[in-house]
Amino acid sequence: MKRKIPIILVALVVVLSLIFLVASGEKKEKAAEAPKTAEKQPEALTLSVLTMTGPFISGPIKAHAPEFKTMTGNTVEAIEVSFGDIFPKAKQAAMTKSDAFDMLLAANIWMADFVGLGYVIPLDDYLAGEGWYPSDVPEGIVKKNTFGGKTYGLICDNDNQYLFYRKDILGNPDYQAKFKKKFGYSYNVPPKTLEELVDVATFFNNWDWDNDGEVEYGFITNTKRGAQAYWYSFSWTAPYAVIPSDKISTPGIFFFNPENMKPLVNNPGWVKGMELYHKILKNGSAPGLDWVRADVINEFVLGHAAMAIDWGDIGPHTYSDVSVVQGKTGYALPPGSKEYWDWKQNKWVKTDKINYAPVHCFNGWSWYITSATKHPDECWDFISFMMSERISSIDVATPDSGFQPWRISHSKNLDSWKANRWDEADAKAYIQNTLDVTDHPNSVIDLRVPGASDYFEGIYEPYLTTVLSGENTAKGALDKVAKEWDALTDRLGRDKQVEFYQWHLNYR
Amino acid sequence: MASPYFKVQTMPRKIGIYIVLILWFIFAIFPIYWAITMSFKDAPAVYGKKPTYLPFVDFKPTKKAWMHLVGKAVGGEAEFIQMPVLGEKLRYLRNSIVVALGSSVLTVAFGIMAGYGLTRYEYKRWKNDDISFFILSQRMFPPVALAMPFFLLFTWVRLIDRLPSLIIVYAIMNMPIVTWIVKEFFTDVPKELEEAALVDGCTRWKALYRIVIPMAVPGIAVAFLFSFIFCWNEFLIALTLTFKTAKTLPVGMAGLTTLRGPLYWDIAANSLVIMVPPLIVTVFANKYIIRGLALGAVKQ
Amino acid sequence: MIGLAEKRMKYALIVPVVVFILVVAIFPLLFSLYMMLSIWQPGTGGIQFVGFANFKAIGQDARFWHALWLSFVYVAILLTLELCLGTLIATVLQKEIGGKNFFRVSYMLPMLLSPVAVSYIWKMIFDYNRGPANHFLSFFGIQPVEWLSGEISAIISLVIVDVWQWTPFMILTILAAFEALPEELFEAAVVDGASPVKIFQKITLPLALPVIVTIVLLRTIDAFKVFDTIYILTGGGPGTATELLNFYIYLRGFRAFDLGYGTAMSWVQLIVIIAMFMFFIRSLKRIGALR
Repeated sequence: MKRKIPIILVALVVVLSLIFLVASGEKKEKAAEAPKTAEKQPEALTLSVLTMTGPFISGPIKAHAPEFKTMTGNTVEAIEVSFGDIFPKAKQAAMTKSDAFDMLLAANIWMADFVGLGYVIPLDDYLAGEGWYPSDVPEGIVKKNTFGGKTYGLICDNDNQYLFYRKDILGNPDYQAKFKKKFGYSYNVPPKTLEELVDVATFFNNWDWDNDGEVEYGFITNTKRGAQAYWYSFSWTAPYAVIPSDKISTPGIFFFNPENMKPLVNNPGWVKGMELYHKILKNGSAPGLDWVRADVINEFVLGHAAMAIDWGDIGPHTYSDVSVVQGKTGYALPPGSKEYWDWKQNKWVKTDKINYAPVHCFNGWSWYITSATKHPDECWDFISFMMSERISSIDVATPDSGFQPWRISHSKNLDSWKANRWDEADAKAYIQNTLDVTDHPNSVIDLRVPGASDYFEGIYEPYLTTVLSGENTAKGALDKVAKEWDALTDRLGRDKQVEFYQWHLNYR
Repeated sequence: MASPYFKVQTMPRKIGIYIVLILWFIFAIFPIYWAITMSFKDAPAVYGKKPTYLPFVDFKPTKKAWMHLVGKAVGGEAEFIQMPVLGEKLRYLRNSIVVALGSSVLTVAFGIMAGYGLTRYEYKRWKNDDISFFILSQRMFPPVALAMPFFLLFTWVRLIDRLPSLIIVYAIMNMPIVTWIVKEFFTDVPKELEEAALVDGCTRWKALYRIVIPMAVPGIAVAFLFSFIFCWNEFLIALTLTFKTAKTLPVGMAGLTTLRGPLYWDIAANSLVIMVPPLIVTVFANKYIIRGLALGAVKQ
Repeated sequence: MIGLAEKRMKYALIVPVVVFILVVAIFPLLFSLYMMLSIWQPGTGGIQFVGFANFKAIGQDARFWHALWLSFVYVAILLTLELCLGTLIATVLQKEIGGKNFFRVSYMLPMLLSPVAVSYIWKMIFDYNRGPANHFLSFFGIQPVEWLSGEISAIISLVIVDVWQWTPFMILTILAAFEALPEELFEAAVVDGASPVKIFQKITLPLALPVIVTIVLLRTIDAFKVFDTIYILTGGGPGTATELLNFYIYLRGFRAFDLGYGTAMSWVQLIVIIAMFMFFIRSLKRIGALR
C-alpha cells in the first residue's frame, strides 16, 4: 500500500487539475458567448494596455472598460506587470517589434525613451479634435505632454511631491510653546524651509503627541532601493540646487548642465540637501530604512506620523476607512530654502524670499499609443473616453485609482469628491495645492532623456541608499553618481543626450 | 539499526539532541505559521507597534484576505479595486497547472525513453556516458543566460506569452533530474524479467510498458513530482517570457509589490495557496522524495 | 530480424530526446555565443557585431567584479553554514530516538516551497518595525536590526532564507549517505571502544565524503543561480550590497535590455564556475578525499 502513495498522489494531481480545467474552461466559454449575442458589430476589437499591477492605475481601466464596450463594442484589456517590469517589457516589445501592446499607460518620464525608440505616435492630430485641450489643462502638464514640439503622451495623473502635515498637531499651541523653548524660535504651520522642517520633525519624533498610548514619528519617507526611493530625495535637494526662474531663462534645470550634460548632481547644493535628508532620517523620522511608499501612506493615514512629503495619493487616502486623519490634514508646497547654489557662477546665493522648487517626481502616468498597434483610431477613442471630464473627475476622486487632479475643471465639480465623503473645503484645498505645485514657476520636470531609469534606478538610487544608511557621505556618494552618470552619457552618446535634454527643457 | 552506536545512552545527551531538534523544528516551521496567521490579519493587526502571534489572543482574525483571493470585495471596498490575485477567472492558477502538468508529462516521457535506452543499450558511437553528460549539462548553464535567447526565439516564432513556450523550456530544464531518477529505477528492474518476456514473443515496446514501467512506477512518480514542483515554483523564466496570458502564479504574485501596503495579508494568503501542492507532496510522499534525492546525490 | 528491430528501437529511444534538446537548447546556445560578441542598438533595432568589446567592458566594470566577488562570498558562507548544520542534524537524526520520522518530515517542509512565496514570508518576518525577527531579538535586549537595508545584514538575511530553505536538502541527503554505510563498521568500532566523536571522525565522515562532495557541488551550482529571493527581498540593495552576479546580469540584460553585455557576463560566470569546480575537484583528488 505504501508503495502506492506517490502514484495515488500523481493520479490525484492529474485528475483534480483536469476537473478544474474543464470546469473553469466551461465558464470561460460561457462568458465569451454571452457578449457575442449581445453585440451586433461584426468586428469587435480587443485592445491591450500595458500598465502597472492594480488596484492603483490599472483599476480605472477595469472600472470603465465595460462602459466603453457597450459604447463601441471594443474590449480593452489591462496587461498588468509589476512597476519595475513595465519599462523593460515596453522596451523589449519596441526592440523586437512586437505588437503585444496597443496602448501604454506608463510613466511620462519614459517619453524620451519611447520617442527615441520610435515606439509611440504623436497625438496632436487627434487632440485638435478635442475642445478642452489645452485650455483646461495647467501649463505644467502641457509642458510634460510635449516633447520636441509634439504631443506624444497625455497625462491622466498629475504627479508631484509636496508636503502633508497634521493641522491639528502642528497647530497645537502647547506644542508650539514647547518647541519655542527647545529651539528658540516659533515654527510656521506648515514649515516653510527644509531646515525648519527638520527641526519640527525632530521635535515631534518619538513621543506620543496624539495621546493614544503609542509613540509617533515626526516625518515619514520612502527609503528602500528598488521601490521608488530616489524620488523622495529630490524635494530635499531641489531648493538648494535649482536657480530661481527669475534669474534664469530656462527654469527647472536640476540634473545636468544643458550645454554639455555634465552632471550637477554633486554640486554643493545637492550635497547640502542630501545631508539634510540624512539628518531628518536620523533625528526626525521613523526608525529603520525598510519604508516603502505604501508605508508612507499608511503610517500617515493611521496617524503615526506628523508630516510626510509624498505624491498626492495621501489626500484621498485620508478618507479611506482605516484613516484617522480625515479633515486634519494640511497640504502645502514642499518646503524651500533661503539659499541656493548657482551652478552657473559656482557660488552660494542667499535669498530673502524663500526659494521653492517642487519636483514633478515621475511627472505622472500618461497615455501613449504605440506605433505597433494596427488600430490607433480605436485606441484614441478609448483614451479620449478616459480623459473626458466626466470619467476623469470620477477617477481623480477615487482613493484607489492613484490618479491626482490634472484638469483645471477638476476643482469645480466636486460631486465625486463629496461622494467619497470629502469635506468640500478640504477637497478644494487639496486640488488647489496639487495644481499650484504643478504650475509653480520653479518647478522641476522629472528627467526625460533616454536611459532616464538607468541614471536614477540604476545608478543614483543605489548610492542614495548608501547615504541614508550612513555607509557613504553625501559628497562621496554623489561624486560617484556624477562619475557614473558621465560614463553612461558617453555610452549612450553625449551629443544625442544633450539634444534630448534640451528638448526636454525647451532650452532653445 | 541494532548497533549500540545508534542508541542514545545518557539522559543529558538525549536532552541535548532534543534541544537541537526542537530548535531547528521551530526555525523550520515558524515562517509557515507566520504566513498562516498573517493571512487572517488586517491593517490594525499588521500596522500595530508590535507583531502579533496568536489569533483571538493577540488579534482578531478576519477572512478578508481569503475573500480577496477569490476576487470578492469585502465590506466598504470599491468593487473595481479588487484584483483577483489568482488571476482573472483563476487564470494564473490554471496556467500554473497546465504548464506544470504538460511539462512534467513531456519530461517524464522523454525521461523514460532516455532512461530505458541508456540502461538497456550500449550506444557505441556516442557512448552512453557522453549522452548522460549531454543531458546533465543542461543543468549547468545559468537560466538568466538562457532566458534572453529564449525570449527572442519565442518572440520570433510568436510563442511569447503563450503556455507552450514555458512547457518547452521547463522540459529542457527538468530533463537532467528526471532522466537521472528514472534511469536509477530502471537499473533496479531485473533484466531477466524482460528477457523472459522477449523470449515469449513480446516486442521491446511491449516489454517496456508491460514489465519495466510498472515495476519502476514509484520512481517515475517521484520524477514526475519533482518536475511538477519545479515547474510550479519557477519564477525567472516565467517572469521574462510572459506578461499576460501565460502568467503563472509566482509571477502573478510578484506583481503584488504594488504601492498599496495593506496587501501583506493578501500576499500571505496567496503564498499559502502557492505552497499547497508542495506541502501535500512533502507530507504524503516524503519517503519517495528522500529516495529521489538520495538517488540524485548519493549514487552519482 | 530481431537485431534490426532492436537497433531501430535503440535509436528510437534516444534520438527524440537528443533532437529535442538540440533543437530547443542549441539555438539559445549559438545565439548567446553570437550575442556576447555584439550589442543591440536601441532605436534602430539592429544587432551589431563588436567583437570582444563586451568583454573589455566587463574588465572595467567595477560592479561586475563586485557582484562576482559577492556571489562567491555568499555561496561560501551559505555552503559552510548549510553543510555544518546539515551534518550536525543528520548525525543527530541518525540516532534512534522517538519522533524521528516526525522531525524528518517537518524539516523537509521548506525545501519544496516556492521561493517567491517564501521570500515574501521572510520579507514580513524581517520587517524592521513589525517583523517578528526584531521582536524576538528585543527579548534579549538586542537593538533592532536593519535586516534588509543594512549593508552586511541584507546579505545575511538572504543567507538565512537560503539556509532555511536548503539545509533540509543537506540534512536529508547526508542522512541518506550515512544510512547507506554498512552497519558492521559501527558495531566493530563500538566493540573496540571508540568514542562517538572518534567514530564520526574516522568512519562516518570519511566514508560519506564523496557523497557530501557531490551534494556540495550540486548546491553550489544552484546557489550561484539565486535570483528570486533577491528580486523580492532586497532588489539588490542597499546600494549594491546584495547585487549578486545572477541578479546583476538580469538587471543589465533585461531591465536595461543590454543583451550583448548580459550574455557576455553570463558566459564569464559560467567559465569562472566551471574553472572553480575543476580546481576544487582536482585538489580534493590530490589530497585523496575523492577517488
